[in-house]
Amino acid sequence: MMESLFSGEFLALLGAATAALAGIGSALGVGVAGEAAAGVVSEDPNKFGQVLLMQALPGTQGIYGLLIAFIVLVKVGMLGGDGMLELSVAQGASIFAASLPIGIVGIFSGYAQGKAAASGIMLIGKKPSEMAKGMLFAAMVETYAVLALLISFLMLNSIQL
Amino acid sequence: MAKHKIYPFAVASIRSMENRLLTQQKLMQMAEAKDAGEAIRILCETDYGKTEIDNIYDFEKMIRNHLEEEYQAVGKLIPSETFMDIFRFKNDYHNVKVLIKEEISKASGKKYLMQGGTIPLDSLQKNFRDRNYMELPNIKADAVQEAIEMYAKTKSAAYIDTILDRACFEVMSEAADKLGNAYVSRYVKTLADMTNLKTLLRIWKLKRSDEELEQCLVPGGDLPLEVLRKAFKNDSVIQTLKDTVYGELCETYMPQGFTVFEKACDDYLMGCIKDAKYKTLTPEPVAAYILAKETEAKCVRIILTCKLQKMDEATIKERVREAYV
Repeated sequence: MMESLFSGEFLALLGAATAALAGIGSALGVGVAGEAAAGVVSEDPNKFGQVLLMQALPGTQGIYGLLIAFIVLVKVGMLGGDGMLELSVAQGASIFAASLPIGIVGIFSGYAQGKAAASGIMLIGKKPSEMAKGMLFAAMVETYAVLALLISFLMLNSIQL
Repeated sequence: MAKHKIYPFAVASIRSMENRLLTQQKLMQMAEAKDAGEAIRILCETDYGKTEIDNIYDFEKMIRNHLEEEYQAVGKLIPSETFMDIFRFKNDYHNVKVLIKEEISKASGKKYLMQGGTIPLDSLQKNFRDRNYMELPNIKADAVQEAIEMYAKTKSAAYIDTILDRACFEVMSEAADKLGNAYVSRYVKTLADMTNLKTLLRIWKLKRSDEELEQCLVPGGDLPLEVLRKAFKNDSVIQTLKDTVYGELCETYMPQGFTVFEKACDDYLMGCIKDAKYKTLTPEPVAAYILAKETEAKCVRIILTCKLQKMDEATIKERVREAYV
């Protein structure tokens, strides 16, 4: 039992799953931003287009997570049709480690970006002309999700199977 | 993940609604109008204009209708929350005062009753008549009883107001303590202090007695009542208050007379309320909006009353309170 649990294959899949967890952050973030967006639209339905764009901003973390999860799956041969490669525990553990940055950073940055986006939506509610600035504030948080994505990607790329 | 409950919908709605608050500029424009009619015309261009009035002396109806509408709109945003209740107790107590006086005078006080309390008016009226305090959780039964007894003894309606005001502040600070929100606690404390300072100045200027001051002071403030009593007794109000947190406020504005000091107190309180401008997601802005609306209504009343009395522009402008936006 323990041996199969700590096999390389299992660890690699655990890595893909962890990367996909970045979606938690996006879900929370888009949720908060969505509530705020509904608040603004309840007062002024014409702002729907503007606030929708802002609401979508925290959604990227989930996409980054998905991207890394895909790369892992392709790398271990799960998506090729030839069956999964045989992996040593060290290889599996490396893939797992490589997936951690986007998984963890995705969760927190997604939620944080959601709050920034919600504030930006409130800004649109109050001063519609300042939409670009509100967007910029929320987009700042994106930097760190991108950095995590970059690291996860570089690590995965350099793992030799 | 959040430590405090968050209300993105409510705050975002409020932020949009804030755009419709009257700006300082608009209020000044009203103050500059050449007569009351023109001032009301300016007011009619805003949300207040939903109620049409035939007579300029009916402007109070416009203000009341608008306030009621706003109370209802905001009440829906954060339903059944003690957070908002704290800011609405004063309306409950106002209504109780009206009901007590109604009983005493046997005249209908219906037009003085206000919406916007925590207890719906129908239920308040019915349960108050039956003295069913179980259904009126935030009304202090002893205070009501005391007020009625004091009136029977003294025949002075002032006691009804002071006793119930005290009860109202007690309820507010108890609720604020229970809630444990720093913003709300600070507001309630500052409000109590401002009320006491205004009372002190008024009683001091009118050269009334110690007992009267004692009767009018409200609990719940940061400023110990002992300090206020001492200041009054030694006839050294400004010198004593100089060393308190409100030293600057008292020193600058108290010598300038009551009207100026009252405005300064309101502006000081508005300064506290304005902290909510920098809060997102937590419910402070919702409360601030209601308080901003109440201040705005007060300004509109001041301007229109002054206009009807044909007071000059400069005096009116001096009296207009600081706006939230």
